[in-house]
Amino acid sequence: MIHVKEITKVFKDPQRKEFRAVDGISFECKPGEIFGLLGPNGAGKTTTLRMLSTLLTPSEGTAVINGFDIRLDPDRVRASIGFLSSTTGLYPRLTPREILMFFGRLSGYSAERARARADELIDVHGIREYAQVRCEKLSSGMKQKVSIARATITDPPVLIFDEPTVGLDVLAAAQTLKAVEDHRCKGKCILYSTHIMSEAEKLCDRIAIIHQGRIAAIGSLDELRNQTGHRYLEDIFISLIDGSANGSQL
Amino acid sequence: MNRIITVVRKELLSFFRDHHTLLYSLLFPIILYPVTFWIMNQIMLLQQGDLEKQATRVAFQESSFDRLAIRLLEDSRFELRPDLLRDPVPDARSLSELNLDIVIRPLQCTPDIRLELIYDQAVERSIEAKKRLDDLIDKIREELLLETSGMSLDSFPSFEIIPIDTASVAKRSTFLIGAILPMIIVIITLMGGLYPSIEVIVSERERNTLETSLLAPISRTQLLAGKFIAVVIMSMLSVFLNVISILLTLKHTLFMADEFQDMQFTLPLNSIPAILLGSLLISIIFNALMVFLASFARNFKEGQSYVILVYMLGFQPAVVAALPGTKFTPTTALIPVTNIALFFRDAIRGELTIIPSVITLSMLTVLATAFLLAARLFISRETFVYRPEKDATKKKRAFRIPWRTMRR
Repeated sequence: MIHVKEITKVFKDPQRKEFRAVDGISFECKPGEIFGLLGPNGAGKTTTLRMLSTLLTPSEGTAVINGFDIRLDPDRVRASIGFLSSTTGLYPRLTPREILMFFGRLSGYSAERARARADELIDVHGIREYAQVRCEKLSSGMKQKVSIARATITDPPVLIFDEPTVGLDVLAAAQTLKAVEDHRCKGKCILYSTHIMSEAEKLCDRIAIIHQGRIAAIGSLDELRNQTGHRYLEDIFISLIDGSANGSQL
Repeated sequence: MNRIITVVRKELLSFFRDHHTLLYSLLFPIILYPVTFWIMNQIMLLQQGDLEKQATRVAFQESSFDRLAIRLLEDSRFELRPDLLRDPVPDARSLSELNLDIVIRPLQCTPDIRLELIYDQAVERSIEAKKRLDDLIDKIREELLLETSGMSLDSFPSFEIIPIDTASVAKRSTFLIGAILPMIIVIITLMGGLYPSIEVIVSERERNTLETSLLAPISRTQLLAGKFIAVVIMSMLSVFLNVISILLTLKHTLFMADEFQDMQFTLPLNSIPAILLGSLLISIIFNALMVFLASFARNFKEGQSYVILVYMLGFQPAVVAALPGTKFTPTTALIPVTNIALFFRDAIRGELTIIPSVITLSMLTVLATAFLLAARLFISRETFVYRPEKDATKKKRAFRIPWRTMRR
């Protein structure tokens, strides 16, 4: 469902000259799988996800999502994904229902179909109580539920989550993780970026550890354990990052 | 007191270190206004000069007042038409048909002097003619006074000037509205789009909703078009409501005065399509420019400072159009903003001419297209989505407080 091929992003910064935020990474993610991108801040996770969601154009390499190339068919790629990150906020002066309707209509739904789908998501995510309240008045947990509903308005086959629990309290974070798991059960292909070890450990079927724009290791938790000899993901992560920093690419 | 002074110093230090404050509070008043006022002044002088160069076309009716006729012949500012008019009192239409600015009708020439000045209050040349004749008659009155010095006051002839305005109520109304409304329409168009143009992109960037919008499965051109049309609608709505409000206010306040009481305060119906078309074009231009400039801003404050620049630059050319003597010619049709204000003025007065109108509308269409294309080009760039943050490590020349520098 997601095939990333040697994708690279170079930013041209007058201070730092050329800066390779992502340096030729490749991976695949299948339907019904949660693929985790784990890395420290500035590792290149968000840049990778922004390229996959067509917000940024890769400097080199490409990716194919749901059969569409991100370079050649960006509109269809966006129609195939639901993207959620801490920077995909909600319009403060619109209500959850209006936001869902808006994205439904932008996705080509008729007014009737968009309304029906919005109603369905309002029930699924338990947001009926505040479906008519402006988003600026909602708590961060409520907003997150609406954001998840917004990302899944077209029931896309691919979901991309970029640190979705940042800034949420424990309960809201747990609800978000539950929603992600539910989508896996529905057979969605899920790309999940985080720097929180416990989340990756709990959710992800396979994990890619990213450091300095490169993949330091890739595999299931058991494979990573075997690779590093450590039991806990945190130790695995530190050993890989240290190894990567010392130049021993795995 | 010392604490207050400490706070004042801290605030001033912050102001002086903010380049927006420096730009808009200090640099603009020093540079922008003198430059733009100088340019406007030159245009005004040019227009005023043109009006002053034009000879006033005068004709006498019935009998002549010799002294005045001689002075008119001597004065190069007047062009005395030799034919006597036979009509009892010419109307505004016959004044314009006879290519006359003013008609003098001496009712009595001796011993007392009674003159009627027949002119058109809704024609600038005619207003200027009345002004010139008033000056000339004042001079003649002074001459007569000097000639009769030493005589008793009773023997001095009385002087009575009766101005007769031939302009119809409707014509006077449209003349007045034509002088006020164009400038207001331009300014309101600017103001109406000011905040929406910042709101649609910069506020979204600030609230982290721009990325949400860009993730929708539509092209950026479609997204920009949608946002832009919304801004234009707000701007046009603002123009529409303001024009109605201004007309009603004029009707119920200023025009309650005796001299304005008989006036009508409605836009001539045939001027409305031209005003709507012109407002739409100018709204597209201003808002395309403002949306484009605001797109470069990282936050609302920055966006505001970029957009206010358009307001400052757009305001003054609109004022020129309200000045007496400014004509809508192919040359003035090439001055952006002034041209559309003149287009509105002449449309309201029912005096639109084809060539300047075509030049104005074509020029505005080209400008609107250019700004929209520039905005389209910019939003396709990555820096549109993620404006680079200022590098805190970058060495900057810090603003130093003069008294501190001196102390050192």
